[in-house]
Amino acid sequence: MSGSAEEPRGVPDRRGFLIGAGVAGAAAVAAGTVVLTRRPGGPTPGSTVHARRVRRVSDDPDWSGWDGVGTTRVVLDGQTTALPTRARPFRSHVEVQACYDAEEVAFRISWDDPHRDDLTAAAHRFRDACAVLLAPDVTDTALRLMGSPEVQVTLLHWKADWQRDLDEGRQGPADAFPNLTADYYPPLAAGSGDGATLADYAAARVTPWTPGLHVGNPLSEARRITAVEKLHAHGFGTSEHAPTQDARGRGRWRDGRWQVVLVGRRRPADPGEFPLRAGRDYGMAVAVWSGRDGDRGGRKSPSKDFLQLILEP
Amino acid sequence: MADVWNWQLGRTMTYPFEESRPRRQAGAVFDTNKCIGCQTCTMACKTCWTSGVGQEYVFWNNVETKPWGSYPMAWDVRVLEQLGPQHWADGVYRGKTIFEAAPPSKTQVGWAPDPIDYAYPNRGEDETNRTITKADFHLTLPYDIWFFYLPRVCNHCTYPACLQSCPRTSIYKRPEDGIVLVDQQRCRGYQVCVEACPYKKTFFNQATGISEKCVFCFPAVEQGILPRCMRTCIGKIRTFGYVSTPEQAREDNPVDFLVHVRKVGLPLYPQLGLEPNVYYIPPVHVADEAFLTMLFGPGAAAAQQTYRAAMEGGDDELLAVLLLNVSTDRIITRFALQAGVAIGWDDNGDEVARVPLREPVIVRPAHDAALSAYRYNVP
Ligand code: SF4
Ligand code: SF4
Repeated sequence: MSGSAEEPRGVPDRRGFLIGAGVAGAAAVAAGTVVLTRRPGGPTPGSTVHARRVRRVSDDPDWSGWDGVGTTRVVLDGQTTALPTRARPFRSHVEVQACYDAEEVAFRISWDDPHRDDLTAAAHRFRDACAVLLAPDVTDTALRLMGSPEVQVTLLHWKADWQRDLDEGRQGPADAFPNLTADYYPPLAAGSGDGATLADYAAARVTPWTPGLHVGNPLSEARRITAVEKLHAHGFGTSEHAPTQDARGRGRWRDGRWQVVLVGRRRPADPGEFPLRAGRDYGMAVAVWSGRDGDRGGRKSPSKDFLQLILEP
Repeated sequence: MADVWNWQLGRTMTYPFEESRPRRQAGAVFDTNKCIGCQTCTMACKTCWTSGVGQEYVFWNNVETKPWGSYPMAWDVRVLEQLGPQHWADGVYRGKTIFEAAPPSKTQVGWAPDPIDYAYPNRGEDETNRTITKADFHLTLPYDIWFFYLPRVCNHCTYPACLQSCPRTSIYKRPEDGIVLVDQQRCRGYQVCVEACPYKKTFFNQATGISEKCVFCFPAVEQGILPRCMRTCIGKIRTFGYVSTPEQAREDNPVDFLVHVRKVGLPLYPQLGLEPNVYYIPPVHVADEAFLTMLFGPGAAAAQQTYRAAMEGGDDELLAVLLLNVSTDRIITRFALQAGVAIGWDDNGDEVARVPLREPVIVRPAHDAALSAYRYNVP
């Protein structure tokens, strides 16, 4: 893989390293003598993401607090386990940072992308996106396949088009087709034509005309409340919108680079969720999607290896 | 991949899932000879199902003029060119289906339309083919002077490409009637189905951000009523009902009669391998057998002959089935020809239609002596 060529020399086999670190970490926790090192400053090559404790996390990608948090360079891979596949990753790597406070844990993912794909209100226009997968057990590498029938994983999924909806107003066909004109959309009132939105249907209580909205599909909601969706999964193709949507975040594209913050709650809110405790380690993976390349769903660039997330004590 | 039987191809083919046929399969036969391209069906569907924001370019039912029309743009040629040679020998398809021609990274070949491909649903409408023969202007076109209308809806395929392509299994085929639906709650708008369906009958809703498709008006069908596009058909070209496999065909079932007994109802692009369940009676005026074989498979020429013979008075039973088309809103599942009258019954066994094969002809003199007036034919 092109990603492997980017890996620094001298790093042992990542899977062995990862599992070894997980077992050692668990043993140390059991002995009550946790000594975990943090590496602030420049990127560290390892497969461990150290979440630093801060007074208050921020969902601002430009928050100055990120400067004091170590950066892990995470090598990406293609996705060839399930169709539709992506043979090679979009980028060789992303940079990942993490911190947490009493309530939440925040991740900042940064990667180069010359195109900002955040307008999806037309056929075959896909979004840029990124996600963090959190698993209860770092030693169970099978969980990198988005969980297992027995073990649920939590996904925080940031979507560039949802971000645009929040920043500039809920997008619709009129954004994708600026010259679009329509006399009216029955059964909305006459004159409803140009610029009719899902919110108009919701307000007029005629949502059967907008089926996704009518059945409550999260993709179709008339008004966005967050750019980060929380999902649960038990394996590939099983991800489900979580009952409690308590994730937040913000993404910013500037000079050909995305910087995206994803923030999740440390306390479980839904069945099958697990708490994120200080001093413990967890399984973690990240992925990015490039809309212009047709990425969506399983067509993505995930981290090559399962990562170890440590909430520093 | 499983080996499944596709009777339209006369052979087994590969498909990602095992063969699993519904208890019965909703289907239809469209008589292209009677379609007048009025688009009433298109509008009936549009006003019923897809008039909302985000559905601007969505036509679950469309009527295109062949050979030049297509919606979305070039939908058929773009998938056919990915199949390679498409030969038939003794009724058996020897080429590859969209599933068999798939590259390793996919389960089928396909292509994704751009928004602009949906922008001209009437492209090529009523365009004929005139061979210009003036010496200094000579141009040879592949077809003679003809066109015909091809009304299209989702085929509620036996082996749906849309269904097998969905990574979230959001598309399902109902066991009770074979209708293929997109679960609006489960769909995440990946549009893999849009790419996969060679007939391009799944659509992306630009406002709700998820995919939708023809539902065969299942709420009506569940009550024994025809789908809206069929009920409103001005040309009465549409027979709707349930289609069996050849071994289980029932002679008194109108759809089976057209498809399996008289074999005038032919699948659209059977070589794609989906076993589509909307059938077409090919246009009898089109002499280009190669073109019709490409569209409807190797039975096209024989179907034309059978149909012609019926129109010339040689097959009253076939005439009877065609005359029952859209003669009632109820789905006719059994028919009979009795003393020159076509009779249709619905699923409950109730008689729902009675159509005489031949109307009495009354000739009146041009001059009405009693009123001292001349009679005119005023439409
Ligand atoms: S015609 Fe297309 S959308 Fe309809 S069932 Fe077949 S593959 Fe699916
Ligand atoms: S309503 Fe009937 S006749 Fe008119 S275009 Fe549609 S299929 Fe053809």
